[in-house]
Amino acid sequence: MTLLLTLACTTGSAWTEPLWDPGLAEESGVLYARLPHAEALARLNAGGQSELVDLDGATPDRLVSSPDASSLLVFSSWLTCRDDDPKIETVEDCLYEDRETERELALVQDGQVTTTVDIAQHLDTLAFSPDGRVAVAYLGGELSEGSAGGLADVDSVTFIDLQTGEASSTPVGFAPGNILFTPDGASAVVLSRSTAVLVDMDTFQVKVTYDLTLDNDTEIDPSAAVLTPDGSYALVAVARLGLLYKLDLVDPSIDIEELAGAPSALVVDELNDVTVITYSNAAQIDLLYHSDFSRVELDVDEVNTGLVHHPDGFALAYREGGRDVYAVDLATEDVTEYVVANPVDSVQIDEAGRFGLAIMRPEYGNAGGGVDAYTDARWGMSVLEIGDDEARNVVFEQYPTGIELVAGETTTHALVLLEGERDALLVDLADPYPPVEIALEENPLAIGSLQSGMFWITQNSSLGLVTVLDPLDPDNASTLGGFAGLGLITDDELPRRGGE
Amino acid sequence: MLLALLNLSLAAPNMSLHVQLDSQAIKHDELGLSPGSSRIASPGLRLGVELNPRVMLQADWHHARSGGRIYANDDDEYDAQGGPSLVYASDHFDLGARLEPLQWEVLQPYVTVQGSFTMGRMHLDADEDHDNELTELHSRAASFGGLAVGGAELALGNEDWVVQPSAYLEMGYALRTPQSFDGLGDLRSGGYLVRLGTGLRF
Repeated sequence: MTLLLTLACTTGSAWTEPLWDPGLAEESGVLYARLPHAEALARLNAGGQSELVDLDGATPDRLVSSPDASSLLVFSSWLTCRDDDPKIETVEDCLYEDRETERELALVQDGQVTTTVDIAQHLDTLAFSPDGRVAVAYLGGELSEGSAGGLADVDSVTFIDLQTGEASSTPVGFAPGNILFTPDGASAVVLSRSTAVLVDMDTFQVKVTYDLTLDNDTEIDPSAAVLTPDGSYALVAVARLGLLYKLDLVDPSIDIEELAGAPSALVVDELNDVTVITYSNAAQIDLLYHSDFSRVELDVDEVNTGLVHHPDGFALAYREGGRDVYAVDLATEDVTEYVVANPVDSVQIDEAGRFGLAIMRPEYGNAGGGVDAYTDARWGMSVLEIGDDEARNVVFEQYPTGIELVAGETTTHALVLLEGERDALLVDLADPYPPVEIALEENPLAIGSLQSGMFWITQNSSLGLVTVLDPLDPDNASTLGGFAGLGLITDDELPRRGGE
Repeated sequence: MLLALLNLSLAAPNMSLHVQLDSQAIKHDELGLSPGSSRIASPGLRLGVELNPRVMLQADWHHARSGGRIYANDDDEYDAQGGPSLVYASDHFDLGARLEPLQWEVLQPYVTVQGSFTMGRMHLDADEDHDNELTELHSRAASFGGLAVGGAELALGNEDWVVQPSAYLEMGYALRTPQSFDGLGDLRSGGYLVRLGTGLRF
């Protein structure tokens, strides 16, 4: 007699959400991952068992590490049902029109939620005070249909004391965006349409209001702003206008300076006490000295829309899509021009200040052949040696999914991830060929750095896979996998009842 | 084989041995354990020993196995991740008493009450082509409970026969504790069940 029938059902099924998000965030040296399918947050304990963080049923929508990574802020949401019938236990039980999304910001420290803050649904971006004590939530993205949950107060920002969890909504003006903190952390400057306000960081109340125009029919939209290193002035560039507003924060007043064009970017150099200004419609770079607010104009060949600064006293100016990158020595006012092979996508400077790195995008339309056509058709990077005017071009065979700069004691490397390539490439910027191949378990998806100087690389595995490594010491690496299975078997129960 | 069965029938009290098919509910359709429904059909065995003409000690074992590849969202950047393959397997052991209040000759109605023990296993594999513990998950979970069913057994021939072919159909309800897979979550099974089987009485 046959005692056992063999029966195996093979099937396929689709989830509406992926198991995990390859973009990780750090808290006190530990990485966290969002698990969209499980609607949960995983704490990835290196060398130990990963675990879920208890968010009281809320779904983590976005993770933001504080600047020193001592805490993790989690934008989270959960569904509630307006109908309080006790028979309604699951989301499916609740009529669609009775469903409501609630939102909060959870502060996670040492793997635990230490405090939660009710936050308006449309506030999606955080700025942190220099000491990390206060976070300011504001609308940094776009408002879309339904994104505000019915009501959007677009005139306010929310100050959050990260130690006590106390939150204060402060009206500051229409569409506030740019938030700057004075070096001592005592005040914040919040810019909005036609208005700037100075906010006391102890009371979160507006101390001073600066009207950027006296004509209510005129709209002044600040596009960029910086504070002078002593915190006594805010310099505000205005979109489309060739004007720079100088707000005196000590003795409240406004001076307006006419500029050569519409400023596109501002950066402050503390070492030389100067602000660097680039223009979107004028081929010059200005240096505005804070001591007497005198301005030096440096002529260049192209307009510039981007600025990257290094605290050793120099900046790189570039135009997205352009081929020129300018290094400005802020001590000597010398300008070095680099010409790169393909249009610039972005520029970064290594921590040690030895090299700039221009990431180049493909340039289509070259019908020729040879090296030019090969280079034009591909992404690449141009290595800019600071103090020299040579740009060394490196072509990527595939799209670069991630590039991080690694500054050692005497060398600088770029850690490069290429789409479809299993290995990460460690490129010595002083001598790019041949790169060192760092073997990974699977194809890399994303890369990021930790406060410790280590790097994490997430890899293509549906159950989650991340390697934490020191690229200059590849033996110092650990890999963790399987964490995306946490909470795999989800339930559909309403996480919180009304009023909870 | 026939001699063995004859020896068994002479040496032991009335017994029955059946091959059966059980349909159990798994309350997580999204795992893709069973296409189009929340039920898994599981084959098994039943052994019954007559304690007296109206009561039979009944033991059941059945084995369930299901799974497949699960795909993540096709519409966004995470498509590159694909999805893991998932296999769920479980062994159910039920032990209890079968009561036959009516002594009918051909069609025998009965009710059965059993205690239940389940051992479930789950295996997730993100890379089936390679053995790599970093891309696999294994987990086990136990469950306890009980069930009650009512049914009828149709026996061919008469009681004088040494071996009687028979078949049954029964329906009932099972209550089981969730299978708590470490880290993965709780899988609930139980609820209404249907069993059918065929075998021999001797």
